[in-house]
Amino acid sequence: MEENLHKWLNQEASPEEEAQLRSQEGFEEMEAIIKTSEQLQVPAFNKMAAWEQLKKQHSAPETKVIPMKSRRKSIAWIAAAAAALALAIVAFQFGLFDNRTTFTTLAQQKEAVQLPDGSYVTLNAGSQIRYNEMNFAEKRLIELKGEAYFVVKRGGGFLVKTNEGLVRVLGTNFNVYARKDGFEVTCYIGKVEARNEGQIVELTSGQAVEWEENQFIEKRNVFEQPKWMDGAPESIYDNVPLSKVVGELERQFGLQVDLDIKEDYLYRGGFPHDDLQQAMDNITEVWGLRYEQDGTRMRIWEE
Amino acid sequence: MEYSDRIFRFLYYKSGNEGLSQDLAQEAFLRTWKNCKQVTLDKAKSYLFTIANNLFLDEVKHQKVVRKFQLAAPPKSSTRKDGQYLMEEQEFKAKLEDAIAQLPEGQRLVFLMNRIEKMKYKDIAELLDISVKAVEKRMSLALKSLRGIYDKI
Repeated sequence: MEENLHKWLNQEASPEEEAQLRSQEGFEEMEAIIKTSEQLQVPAFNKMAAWEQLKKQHSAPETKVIPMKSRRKSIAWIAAAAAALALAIVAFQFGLFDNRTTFTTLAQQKEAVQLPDGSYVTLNAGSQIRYNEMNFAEKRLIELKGEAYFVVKRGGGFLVKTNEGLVRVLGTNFNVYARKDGFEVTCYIGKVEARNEGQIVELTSGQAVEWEENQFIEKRNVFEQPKWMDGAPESIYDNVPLSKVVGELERQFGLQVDLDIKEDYLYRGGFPHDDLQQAMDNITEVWGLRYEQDGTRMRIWEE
Repeated sequence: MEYSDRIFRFLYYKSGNEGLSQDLAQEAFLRTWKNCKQVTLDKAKSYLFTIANNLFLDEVKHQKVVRKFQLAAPPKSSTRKDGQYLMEEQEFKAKLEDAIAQLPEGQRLVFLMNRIEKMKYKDIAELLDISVKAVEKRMSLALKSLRGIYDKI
């Protein structure tokens, strides 16, 4: 009997063998276990982060041995050393004013960044992070404008500061959307805390909140990772004002969109980041809107 | 990067830990990359899995890994379900997640490769460099332990 079970698990059992197996007592329970196990959620490998890491480590400069030249050149050496010192002093002074490191993505760009503590940040298009390299080890603080996905190494506190609100992390994977048109925090693994105007919410895996009319509203999230980071990246919306969707469209395709509609629609659906035609059709089809592209300008209007 | 997903999943089935699997998969590629002169293309695959496995063994020696497995909600069937049934379903899922995490690593790996990756026993045996009989045995043991959840419900 055991043999039939193994055949069945290898998709090699004949119909008779399968019938025999099914007639066995306790098979139903066994099948429930097997079928339910198949729904295991396997997280996706973050290729972008891995690739960045590979590039970085591989391009690390190798130490080169430079042979010593004759003593006649010593004056040249001193001059060079003095110049280098002067340069270092200038750099140091600038460093004193602002030793923050900034990463910025333009429209149509996404970038994965490894932070000094080994955490990863992936920036969506049109976003910026800034942090202080010098004291990052003691104080993990990131300033964010735009949208980014964080994979935080375990350790002490980790703060994400935005103009729209604050996110305090308790070691985890999460996404922050912080733009003029909204503040959203989604926790994928672990625990984070979102704060704004004196209000605090704690999120655990699978939970998401959005700041709306001066309070945090719980949102639905069914994904394991932001869809904008997928192999086939896209943006997904559940009843979101079309004007906000268009903002993302502009960032993903490097466009300037003129939205000429009488009132804002609530959009439910998504658009791919790598197919403008498809994206435009998805967005306009439901309401029969028209669109026309002229270079980097896009006009959407209502007839 | 053709194998990156597979290596990652391989490590995930072993460890049940996303962050760790991400780090180790990356490290495995880095090492393979560094040794690419010594590794021929047809050997690269088994080389990668071997390295990933070694890295994993090194890692578990150092620390106790927190395992976490999550099952998706089962597909909705057309028949309406009452609250009681849904509760039981939730409980069943939680028990199963737990039981999968509790499996010895070798059994879990074989079980998940067969169930999730739909790999046949002989392909699993080849990849892990063990006999088909050994795969069968691990599979039987895994199923036996998982069945144990019914005793606890």
